[in-house]
Amino acid sequence: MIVLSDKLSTESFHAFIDEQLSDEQYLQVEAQLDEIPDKLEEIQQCHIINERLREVFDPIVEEDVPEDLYSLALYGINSEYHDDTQDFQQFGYEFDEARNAVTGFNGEIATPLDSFDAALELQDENFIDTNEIDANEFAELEALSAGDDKDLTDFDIDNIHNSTGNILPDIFGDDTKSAYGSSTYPLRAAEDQAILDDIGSLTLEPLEKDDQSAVASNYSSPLEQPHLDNLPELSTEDRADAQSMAPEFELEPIERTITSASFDVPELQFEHASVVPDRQAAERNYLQKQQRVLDTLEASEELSLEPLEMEDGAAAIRKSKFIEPMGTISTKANVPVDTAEMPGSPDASREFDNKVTPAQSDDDQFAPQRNQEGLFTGFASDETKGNTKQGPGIVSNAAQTMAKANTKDRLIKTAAGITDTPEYSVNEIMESLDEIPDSGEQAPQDVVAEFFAANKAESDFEVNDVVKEFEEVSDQFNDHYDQNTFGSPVAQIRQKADAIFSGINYKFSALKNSFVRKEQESIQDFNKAPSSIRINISEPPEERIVSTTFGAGAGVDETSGPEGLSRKIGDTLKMYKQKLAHLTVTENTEPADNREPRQFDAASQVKNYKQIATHALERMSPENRMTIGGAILLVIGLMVGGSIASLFEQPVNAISTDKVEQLAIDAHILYTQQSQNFAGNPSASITESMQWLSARIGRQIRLADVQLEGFKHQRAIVIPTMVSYAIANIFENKSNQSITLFVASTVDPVANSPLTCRVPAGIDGLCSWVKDSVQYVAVANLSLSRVRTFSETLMGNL
Amino acid sequence: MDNYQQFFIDTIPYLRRYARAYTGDVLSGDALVRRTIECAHSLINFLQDDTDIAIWLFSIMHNITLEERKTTESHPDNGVLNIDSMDISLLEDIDPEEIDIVTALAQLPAEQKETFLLVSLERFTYDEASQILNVPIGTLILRLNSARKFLIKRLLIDDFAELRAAQ
Repeated sequence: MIVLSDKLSTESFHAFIDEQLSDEQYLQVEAQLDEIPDKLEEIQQCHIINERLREVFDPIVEEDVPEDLYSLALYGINSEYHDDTQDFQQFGYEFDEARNAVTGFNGEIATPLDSFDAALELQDENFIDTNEIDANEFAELEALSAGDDKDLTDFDIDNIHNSTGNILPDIFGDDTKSAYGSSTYPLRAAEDQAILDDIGSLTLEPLEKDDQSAVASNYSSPLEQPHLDNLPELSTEDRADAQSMAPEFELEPIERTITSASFDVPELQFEHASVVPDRQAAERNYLQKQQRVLDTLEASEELSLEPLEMEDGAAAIRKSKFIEPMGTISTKANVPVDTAEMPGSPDASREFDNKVTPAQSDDDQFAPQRNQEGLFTGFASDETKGNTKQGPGIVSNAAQTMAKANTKDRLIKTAAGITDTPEYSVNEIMESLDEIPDSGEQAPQDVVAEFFAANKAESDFEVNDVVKEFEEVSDQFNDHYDQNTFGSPVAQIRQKADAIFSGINYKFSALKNSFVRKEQESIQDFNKAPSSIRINISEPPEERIVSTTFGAGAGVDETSGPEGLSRKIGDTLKMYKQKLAHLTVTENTEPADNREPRQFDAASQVKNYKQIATHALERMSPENRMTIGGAILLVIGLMVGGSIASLFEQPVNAISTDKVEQLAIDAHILYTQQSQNFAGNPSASITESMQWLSARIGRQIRLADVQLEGFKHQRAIVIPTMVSYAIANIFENKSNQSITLFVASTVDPVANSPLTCRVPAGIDGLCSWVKDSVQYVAVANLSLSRVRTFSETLMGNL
Repeated sequence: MDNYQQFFIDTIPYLRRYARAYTGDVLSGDALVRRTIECAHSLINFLQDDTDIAIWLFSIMHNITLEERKTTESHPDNGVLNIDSMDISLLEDIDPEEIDIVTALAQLPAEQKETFLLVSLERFTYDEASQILNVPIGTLILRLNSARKFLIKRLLIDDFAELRAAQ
């Protein structure tokens, strides 16, 4: 409330400006202001400033309140952490804004307050129990599992397959699998070791394949691909020379695929192929495709997954179809036989140069097959020559000359460019063009050029059109991807696939290595180590029963063990379990093989462990042995040293009577001479302080609060002795003379000592005694006789 | 007290006005308001029924600024925003005339500034302002007097103001 005076005050002046005056006061101040014109000007200036201030800042009130401030004012600090909808959404529930509630799967509404608990309850209700689930829901997984007697925990990572076959690489190989499949479980040591050796030799294979395929994939792009065979002017010898000049091609199966697919064979075929060109083309396609597949499989055996395997399967199907029309599929062994049979018929030898016999056509059809066989030994033409030369050498001279003439004739015709002009249908060309994406490593126009260069055929008008059109497209294609350093999309995809499959194989090989290592270790430990203790063991029959029942309880059935030790997680875990649980069974069954009764008892088990330990030590490197020996020595040294030290051990808490006396002197000097500055416990009587001490040290100390020569207990101070509990009781008389009674408990029992009085430096009198392991020290700047009297009085009261 | 949230929401615009005038910019002002509201939520159980929530909130804000002034006592700015040392980009959306009043306020001592703002801008009575600032009315009047004299000199009388008036 503003109180106005006759003269204008500062308060009323500002109250006038701020309009905080009543009407009467306002008039009064106004009258006062009229007498002071300077103040009027100041008031105007203040109003100007107020107006400016409000101009600037009043619009802020009209602004919209920020969202965060609004929610903060509404919900408080924890508003953002108590968003119930978020809690629900992570469980799959939704927040129904209309009902302001959270709804679950079953339509139940949970209130936002107990949202989290309700969500958990709802989740429990909706929990899918795999035991009660319909069998159809896991039908796929069950179909994928290895056997009928295995549940999903025994899921075999090797046998994940679909209808087309195994979709994962068989990194362990069929041999190992079959080896494990034939063995019963648990394995015997020797058998185990053989199998494990097998596996160990196989461990590095996927990685090597990876490297090989990686090298091969470097040449898989068409830009880097040297198309030696597609040069039409090259003769056979030139190509052989070129091949010898580029020996690195010998290392690449894929390169060989190209050479063999395109080189001599089509020429041989189409020179005489007038009988059934369609079928020959189909067979050639099939053979080339099969060859390519085989080569690819050779190059990356396990990298080729589903697509290639499907191709392989399709090829197998096709092969079975072609067996009948082709008669006998030629292998290396069949070639001489064929050539021997062929000259056996005189008609065939007579008509050789002029007509094409069915046998001849068959022989020519088999040429690619032979090429395929000779993939890894040399060039296709050489192989053909070698076969044709070798075969007649075995059978007859006539056949030899005929075959020589045959090949020579072909070579002459090839060099001279004289060829028959077979009629090609557009469909045939289109079929061969369809193969282009499959070849992958060849550019399309190269395939076309190779096709016509190999056949030396003057194509007709339609074919020219088609080829020209296709060449234009392929030129565009190549121009586009010449600029792209990453190669064609096919190569890109193939490289990516190679990378992915190599990653998969690497992981699988690592997994397999770890399995193999663990199994080797475990088998060494459990199967090999106890081998020497089987000799001198007596047999108490009860233990045998116990061990067998124990084994049967855990469900080990040796005869119906898992089919093969496939490297799967479930089996490995189970194997460890069984090995741990049924060590005894293993011990007991192996004697049955040797027709030698054995038993298992505690002594043997100790020996068993000893054996294991020694075995482990033997396997250790010398450095590890040194380390472990040093550790054992260190432990022994610590134990011995600790026991020796404990003999001389003194309690760290030990406090001597002299120390207590010194503390008492210090306390007396400190607390009696600076009594005003020190706040002790003034209300505490000597009884109370003794009760406090009694409670701390666990023994009852009784010290009566008596009037001792006019001294009265003034205060008690707890002294930090770092050891035990001590209290300085200060007594004073009316003449401000003070005596300090220092009561200290000792941790260890101390023998009672009688009252001893002395005059230490700086103190006129000190008396000390010990009773019941509690030391009492009376210190005073009084005569020794008075202190002694005081002390004796206290002793009498104890 | 029930429905105090509504009171908070109603008071927030005035808190923001005061905080922006006190701190000198939007972000610092809103941060101050946010801290005030958070603190008020935590102290809501101590709120008496007969307390004016606006005065209570302003006193909380004053205490927060007081704490900040204590912690930044050794700071050369003395806990008060110095417009001259600020990046000028912060002032791009402020009128030149506004810069004057904002600059002058920034140069005011904090006690005088909050007194002046509570009385002149927020139009609290002297009693309410003395409650908020927890000072006697006499001290309040003295601070108010000093602040007004400073502002009159800074904005209306000094050479710079004369030059500006000449323009």
